[in-house]
Amino acid sequence: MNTPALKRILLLEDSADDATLIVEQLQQAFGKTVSIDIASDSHHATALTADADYELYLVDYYLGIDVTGVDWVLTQRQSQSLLPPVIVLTGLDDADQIELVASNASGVSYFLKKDFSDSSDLIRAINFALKNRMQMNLPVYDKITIVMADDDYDDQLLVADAFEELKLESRLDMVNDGEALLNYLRRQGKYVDLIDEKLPGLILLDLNMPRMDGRQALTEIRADAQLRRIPVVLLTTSEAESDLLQGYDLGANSYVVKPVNFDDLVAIIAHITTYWCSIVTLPSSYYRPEA
Amino acid sequence: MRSNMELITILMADDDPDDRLLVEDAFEEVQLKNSIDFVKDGVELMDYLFQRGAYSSLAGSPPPGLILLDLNMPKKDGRQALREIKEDAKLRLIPVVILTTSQADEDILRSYDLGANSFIVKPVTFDKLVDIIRKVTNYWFQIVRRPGEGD
Repeated sequence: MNTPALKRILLLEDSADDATLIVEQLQQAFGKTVSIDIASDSHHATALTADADYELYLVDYYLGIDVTGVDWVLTQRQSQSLLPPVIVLTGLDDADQIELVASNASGVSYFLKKDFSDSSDLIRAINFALKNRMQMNLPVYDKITIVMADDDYDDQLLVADAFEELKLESRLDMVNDGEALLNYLRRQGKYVDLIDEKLPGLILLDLNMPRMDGRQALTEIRADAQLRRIPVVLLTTSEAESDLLQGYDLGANSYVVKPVNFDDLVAIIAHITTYWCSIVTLPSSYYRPEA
Repeated sequence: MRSNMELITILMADDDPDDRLLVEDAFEEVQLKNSIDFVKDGVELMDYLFQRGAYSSLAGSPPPGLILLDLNMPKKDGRQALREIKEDAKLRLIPVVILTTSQADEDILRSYDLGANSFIVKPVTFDKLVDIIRKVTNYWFQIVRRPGEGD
């Protein structure tokens, strides 16, 4: 395994047995190039960080009656402007709840279940964290807004129904044509009240619409410095190769053919939202509309 | 939804041999019928796509159906390669999915600005990687229409 030259790791772990096992795993992977300082509680850890610089914090979540490992990381963030990468570890039983806490805590790079039989995930996480020495946060995603532009009211209703059927967490906004879409995105015209809201995380765009069609809208979106980074999924009945090529050429992120029956539409909406909302990292979290 | 999967190639660009191996293993888990080709830096990537240099034997074969692109690579990084791909009239039609360890805001924004079709952070565990590969291939080969499928 490619390992960068390591220096110092701080391990905050209240269980001496677990600490021994983790140290063994690290020494097996990194050999003598690593030095590991072990703190058994948060005060000890804070004292250690005052004296030395660490490349990485490995932090157990549960520290007995002490604050949690994540709490300690958060207090560290208050006193240091730049933390090293932080990996939060936990025993198996509470992993799902801890993951939620860790994901929402800024400063935590990765969250892992402790696995003493196989260290490969831990070692990989450490390598990733060290390769990427910029400050990292697990992305915190608010519920995103998805905007759909479609001139066909029946199609609008069907997609809205699909969202309801799937109990999707994303909000779905509808506009009727390309011109309305641009106004919506620019927070102008009848959409000026949206000015303080975050931009949508995803655009579903029909091709054939009056006033301004999807091709023109897509061209304008891609020409706009603020809007161009929003992913656009063309969602259209057209199966024409020319539309397909032109769609990608104009910069659409994906081209999806609208299925004819409702069940297939629900399935496609499910796949699209799973992909864009839980697999892909979207730029929307980091975007605030211009004042 | 279509039930057939054309046997087009997936191209992955990543300088880390362990990561390439993991993705290859993940594709095997998912039992994908498509073949996967690997390149290890941006220079190899562009040679492969332009079917030149060490890859001139590819001349005449169809382009890959999907590119998985790491950002941090020697010789030419993913950001530069992405820019070149999206500036070329033919190559820009190929969906590019950034697959990187970086979670930096700037990388995410810049990738989408440059025209990346998606940005995905490499998961740490193999199980999550298999899950991601399964969903990525399902999305790009079953749900989405890609250019040149009809050929």
